[in-house]
Amino acid sequence: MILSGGTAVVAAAAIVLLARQWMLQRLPEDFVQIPFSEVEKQPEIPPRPGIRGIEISGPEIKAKRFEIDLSRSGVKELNWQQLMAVDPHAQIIVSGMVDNQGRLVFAQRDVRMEGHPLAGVMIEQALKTWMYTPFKTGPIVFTFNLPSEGKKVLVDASDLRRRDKIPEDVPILNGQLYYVDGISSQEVRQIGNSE
Amino acid sequence: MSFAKYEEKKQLSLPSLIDIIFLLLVFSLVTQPRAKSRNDVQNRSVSRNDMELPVIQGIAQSRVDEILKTLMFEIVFQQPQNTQSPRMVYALRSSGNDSITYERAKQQALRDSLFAVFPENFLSLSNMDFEQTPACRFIRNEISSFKQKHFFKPAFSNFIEIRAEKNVEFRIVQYIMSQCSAYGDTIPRVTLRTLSGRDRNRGL
Amino acid sequence: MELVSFIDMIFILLVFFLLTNFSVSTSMEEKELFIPTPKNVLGRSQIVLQMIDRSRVLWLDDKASQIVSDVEDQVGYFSSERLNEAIMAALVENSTILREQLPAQLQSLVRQADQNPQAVYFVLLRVPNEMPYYLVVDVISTLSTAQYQNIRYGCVAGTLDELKQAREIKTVLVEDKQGNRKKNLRIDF
Repeated sequence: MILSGGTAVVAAAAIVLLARQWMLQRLPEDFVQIPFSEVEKQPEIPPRPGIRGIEISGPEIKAKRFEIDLSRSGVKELNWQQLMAVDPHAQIIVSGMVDNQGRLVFAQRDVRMEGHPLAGVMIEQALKTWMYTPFKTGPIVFTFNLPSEGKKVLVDASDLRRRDKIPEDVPILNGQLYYVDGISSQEVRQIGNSE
Repeated sequence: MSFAKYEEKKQLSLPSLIDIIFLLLVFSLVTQPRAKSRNDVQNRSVSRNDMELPVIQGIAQSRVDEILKTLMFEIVFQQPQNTQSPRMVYALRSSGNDSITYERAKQQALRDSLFAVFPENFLSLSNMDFEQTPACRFIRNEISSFKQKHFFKPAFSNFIEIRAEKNVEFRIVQYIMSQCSAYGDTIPRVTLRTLSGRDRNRGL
Repeated sequence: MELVSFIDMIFILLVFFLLTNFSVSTSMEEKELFIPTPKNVLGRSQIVLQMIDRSRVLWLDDKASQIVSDVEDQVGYFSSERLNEAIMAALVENSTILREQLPAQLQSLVRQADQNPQAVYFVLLRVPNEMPYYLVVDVISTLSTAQYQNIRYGCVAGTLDELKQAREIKTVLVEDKQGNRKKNLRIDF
């Protein structure tokens, strides 16, 4: 009985070893057989480091847009239909300044509204709320020509200059410089270069 | 009436004997690796196990097998484990058609004196003087002759192997790389032999 | 009694197989690590790692060009030698990391590459001649773990002094085919 117990243990050990060997053999092979047609295709030679000099990629320079900043609170649109209803013959000129914070700043005397006070006041109230992205500063002139059949709004931004803190290599593009509801872009003329 | 003392006949206990045998077996298995490495030092010339290769954590690299795929430079310290001793470089040549194992290539290198020693002051030499050392000339000639025999056109599969102790200075490795780059894209890369853990998914 | 011995032997077998399995699974094996050979051209990379010494690494990435640009704005009138010195001093001050921080930074780069499979990164490692080459292997082995293998790398010999003595270090504006503009840092030897 003692002998049979020992034999049983040795037999159990042998079975476990055999089972392990069988499991090992069932593992996947190191290399998969490659079809002959694929053997001819060589991988590309990867880029090799240059030693004559180095050029390290810098950050992408994204162009900035100078435009009405609708993300700021309080910016109100000028309703062209309401303006036409009030005074369809008005011609109003507003000469303002864009400051460093992007605010459109002008005084009452900068609004030329001879004979058209109602329209002038409406325009003044709307334009006082306009804010721009703070990339340019300088004078800007708006001309609202209500009776015109062609261009109804003229925006002269030619004297705007980039702010000092914006590096020279960052291009600044002019976006939409007016916030008027009720007219199409074909009825507006913007003067001023994108940089 | 006398009672005879009943003495049990003592028998050899088989289970306990097997017990002891297994204990001895486990003991020898645990201690054996250490004993084996001491013996290996005696046969240093063809031993693979006592070089301190750099250890890497990544598992994305290729495993190596015994067959030499290409020309291999093995860089070791002349005295094992002594990083102050001069550096030696062996050239283990593979053969294009036959498979030659690492061990056989190393024996051939020893037999045919395919090795060279770097001078002790090799780090302080200028680039020109370094390139004129016998070891560098040896490396240059080996790469040149191997390239002429085996690398005919630029290919990703053309490479030279470097197997070096982890503390070997980069200058030597860089020299081998620069000699390969002298042939442009014909030898676009080298491989460094490293040590890494076995892949877990192999079930071992 | 025999049953006790029998159980004893089962436990010993268990210990035996546990030990052998453990010793096999923790053993190391040799593997290959590929490194491209250098080329005598102007190299382009996203990141340059300059080993300064055993404890410090200069990590130059896309922020380096802005640092150089600021120095150019401040002291652009310097002679080229002095300007190079000023630029390198600014780079070393702002872009040096300790070697202990390097693995974490490399892992962060690998994670970034894994999140952007379409992007390809090239990392150039510059190593002084006297450094042990396992430092190179450590860096490259980390970079090669990128899931989509989109981090390419190369290593060349080079010291911080060679950077300081470069013929020219300056920022350049480049435009790619899509019209995107970048301000790159160019070092000419």
